Amino acid sequence: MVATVEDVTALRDVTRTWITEHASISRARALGRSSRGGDGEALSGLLELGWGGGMVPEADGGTALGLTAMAALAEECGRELVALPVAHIFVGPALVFAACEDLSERARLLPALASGEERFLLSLDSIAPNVLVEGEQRGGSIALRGELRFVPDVGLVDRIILPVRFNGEIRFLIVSPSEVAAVRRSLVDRRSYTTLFCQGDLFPAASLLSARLSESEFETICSSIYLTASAEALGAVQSAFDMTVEYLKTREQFGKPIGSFQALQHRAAQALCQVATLRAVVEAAAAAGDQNDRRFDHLASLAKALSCETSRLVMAEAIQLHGGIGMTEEHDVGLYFKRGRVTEFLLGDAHAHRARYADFREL
Amino acid sequence: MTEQATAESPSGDLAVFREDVRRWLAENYPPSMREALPTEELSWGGRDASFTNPDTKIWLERMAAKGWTAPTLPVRFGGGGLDAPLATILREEMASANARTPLISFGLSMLAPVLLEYGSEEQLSRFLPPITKGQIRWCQGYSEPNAGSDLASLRTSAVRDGEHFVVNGSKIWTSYADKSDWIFCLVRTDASVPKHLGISFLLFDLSSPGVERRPIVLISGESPFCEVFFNDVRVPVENLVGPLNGGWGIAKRLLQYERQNVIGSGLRPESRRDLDEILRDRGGLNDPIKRDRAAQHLMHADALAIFTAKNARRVAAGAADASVSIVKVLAAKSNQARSDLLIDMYGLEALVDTSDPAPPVDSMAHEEAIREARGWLRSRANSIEGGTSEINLNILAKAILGLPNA
Repeated sequence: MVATVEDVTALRDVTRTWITEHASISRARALGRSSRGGDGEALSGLLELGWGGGMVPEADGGTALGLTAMAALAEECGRELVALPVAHIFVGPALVFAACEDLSERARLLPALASGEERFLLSLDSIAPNVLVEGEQRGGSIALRGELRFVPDVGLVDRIILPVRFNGEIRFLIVSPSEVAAVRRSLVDRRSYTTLFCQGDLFPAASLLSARLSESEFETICSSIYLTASAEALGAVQSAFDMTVEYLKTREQFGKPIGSFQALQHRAAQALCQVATLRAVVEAAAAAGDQNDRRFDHLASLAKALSCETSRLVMAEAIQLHGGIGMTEEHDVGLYFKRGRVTEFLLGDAHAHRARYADFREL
Repeated sequence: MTEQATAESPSGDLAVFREDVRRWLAENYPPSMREALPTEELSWGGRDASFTNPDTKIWLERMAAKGWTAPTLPVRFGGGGLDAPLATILREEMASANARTPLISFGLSMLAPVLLEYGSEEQLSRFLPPITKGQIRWCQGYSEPNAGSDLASLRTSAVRDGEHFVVNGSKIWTSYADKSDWIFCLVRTDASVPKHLGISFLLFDLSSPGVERRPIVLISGESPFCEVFFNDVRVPVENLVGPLNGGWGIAKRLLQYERQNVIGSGLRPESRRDLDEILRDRGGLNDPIKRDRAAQHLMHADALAIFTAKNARRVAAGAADASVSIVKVLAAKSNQARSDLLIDMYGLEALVDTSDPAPPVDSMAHEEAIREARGWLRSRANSIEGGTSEINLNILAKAILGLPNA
């Protein structure tokens, strides 16, 4: 049973309060806490709030809140730039495990995921998530070859889920990050990204999860991931926009608030049009996902492409309308600007999602 | 709105209603209207309504008899009395039956909702039924030669003389005034007070003595707009809507309804082939760069449709506000972008001057190119009519963002 509007509102409020108290951007700055490698405290806190079971079926110990609720969580994290890949941790693993055919496997993985007792991260290639590791049978083993680029915040979990293309199906393998060659880098958003290299590494074939997905089933899991990432981007965009409108009301020049000047009002109003549209699209895509609407796949790409375009516009306007103070390290708006540019690329950029939309719409 | 009885489905059984609608449409929607809609077959109603396809008239009459030209209006005014969920079902079933809108009407989309809010019971009973039946076609008397974006500075005057107002002045950019029967008109009834406080909202018959209408030829060669002149036009006092000098609030409210419906009226997507179909026919999707651009445009249009639907739900739930200006700004932009995309694809073929008798129109594709070119010229008005994009941005800045006045 998917969460009702009232449930989502209540969950959102509780989560916002918790983030404001424990994981806000200003708090992170005040504590001098570096979030390189991901915010483990935030992850623990959100798991305690029960978010771990948000996408886990009720029969498997979850709350099955659905995508509208997960989008709310992602948006709240995005607002404060919480260093957590919500899509990879709170959405991806549950969808993969729920696809497992082996009941004992489900019974082992899903309740542990829901309770937060075990933490997993679905490691998708950030540039092109449908580029997977290729698996090849070698006797009783499977040899993996390929790389997954810029997987975010791998350090937050003990176990990662590798998606593998094997015998014409999409399969999954749970490994420890230390079992695969990895190169970690930090980007301008102060987050940690790891490229995983599989160079013929052998794993027992029996360790593959029992989930066997077709390309289109995997695309639908990806759609949930894209939607969640779009919601996170929406949160960041909304914060930067709100901050900017507030600044326009308080900053004075020529003896009056600069927000009284029509040239600036129009720029803010143009940005409002884009932000409001993005919000409506994220809501519609999440609802389509919750209702198993056939439009879900193309709407998810619509949301992702639009989040890239809107982020590009709003983050740049945020700096410009703040003037010189927006260029300083001490002001938060620069953090949003840098994070925005990184998120445009993560999980497919605007061009990639326009092409995916065009494919699903059969253009 | 009042009387939102589920007259068609007292049990509230949505599935039953959907089944009934589907069956009724299958039996009653004329087969000749299943083709793509030519502009000349758009159904506007009115005393002088002409029906190039006689089925258009039959369809209008059948729908009007069900009250489905105005699905959510109360039954006693000729509406369908449907609540929002039932109206949605009707809309969905009409879409899946490819059924055309039976009646395009400024009376329905703009006047009816403000009459329900501000009109007297007598005015509702008198004016709404002829609107829902498509018998009277209305036009909007707002802009004047010196009152465009600064609409409230309008000067057309109405002076009380016994049981009449005497109207003098002129309006401009009045859509289809030459084809309309009545006008809802903003008039100055007090010139001694600040401009917003001396305006009234008056309804009158354009066949009254002293009314003159002149179509304006536009850059597209078409004449959808008119100048209208009033010379001592006598209007009965009972045609005043709302209080004397209380017209500005009504005027602004009506603009919110107009802007919400901009996609359905001024832009008329239903008279066209789908963009993706045209692009595919013309090879506009083969090259990856063109495909990216086309997809981007279609995605923006899709996003706008999603926002518009969300806003319509809010309006239906009684939360109408200035955010309709977002719809207006984006719809204008989207329609203009659509035309630019098509012109880029057709190239100079689309830019033939049809007033020159020399060049033959040699193919269906060429005819379509020229029609789209007309649409391109028409589309430039989308960011001017119904409040310019700049005026709508002003409204958003103040009413939604709360930015201060200069």
